[in-house]
Amino acid sequence: MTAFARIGLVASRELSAERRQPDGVVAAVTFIAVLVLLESLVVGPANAREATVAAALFWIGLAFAAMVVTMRSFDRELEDDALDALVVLPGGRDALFGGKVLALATMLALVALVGGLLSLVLLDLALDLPIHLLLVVVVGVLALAPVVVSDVVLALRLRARAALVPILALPVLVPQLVAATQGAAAALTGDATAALAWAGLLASFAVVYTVIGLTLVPVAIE
Amino acid sequence: MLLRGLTARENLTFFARFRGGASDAVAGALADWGLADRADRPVETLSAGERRRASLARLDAEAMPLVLLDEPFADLDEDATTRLAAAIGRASEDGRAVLVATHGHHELDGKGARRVAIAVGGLVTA
Repeated sequence: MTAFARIGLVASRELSAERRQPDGVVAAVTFIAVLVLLESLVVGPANAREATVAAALFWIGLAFAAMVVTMRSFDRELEDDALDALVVLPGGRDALFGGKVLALATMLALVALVGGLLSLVLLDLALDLPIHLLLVVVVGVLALAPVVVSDVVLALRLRARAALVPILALPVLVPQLVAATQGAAAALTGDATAALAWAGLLASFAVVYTVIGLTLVPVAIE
Repeated sequence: MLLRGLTARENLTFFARFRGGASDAVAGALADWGLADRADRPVETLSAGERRRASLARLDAEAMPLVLLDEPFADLDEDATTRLAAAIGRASEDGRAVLVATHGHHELDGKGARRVAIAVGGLVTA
């Protein structure tokens, strides 16, 4: 079996388990929906419709949603030593990271779809470049997933990991959140060149952090 | 050793496929361990004993070259103990290396096992 097939198998297993027990996705969707609903109340309707404000809150919500989903996923793995059973398999560590990233990206895409639609409808945002926005969201999600999975793995055996994961992850995520916010805001306001430039930067982040994760996680999970 | 949210059959099929083997042996393994009628229930709805048997059924479902078992007979009833001893015997006959750490003395009698006794951190008999 190839490494890609093993990654696909782990991702498929992850998504099947989440489908049966969708605690992580439900919590993440609820979280981002409440955030969008509160947004206009907190910052006022005029400010909430600002492209940069709406995009920033959306991406901050998505980053925290990614942490919620990933921590829930690894909590499930730690029960009954399911994680140990996977990492002792030949190629298990690499497949664990790749599969988790792929599954998280899929689940985040669903959360982003719900959060994005709610933002567009409830905040009545103007959307000038929908395809560009879709591109920014896709590469933004792909850039978030490897950082969050790596971070959760590094804090996996720590008792205070629920507190440490956001503390460790957010400094690393700041450049990506800036790029994703600026890219989404550019797509909302019709600046195609800026949207594509930010999407390119996010794609670079996705590649770099996937390579770092594939190098770091198999050793860290020893 | 089983992931919650998946059924016993899905768990065993995952491990069998991960090793690149066929998943045909899974149904037989689950039946041999008395789990045929519970194979499609999520593992978190099984009793502790059933989950233990489902984990041990991996012995028959996968072609693992090396098997390490730490106190595998602990908390097993007589029927499951007999099944496990038979499964260890089959794995050994298939040419797989099986290393069992146990406080029991007689579970593997007649299975061709080489016995090594360790006490207070030292080798007593080999």
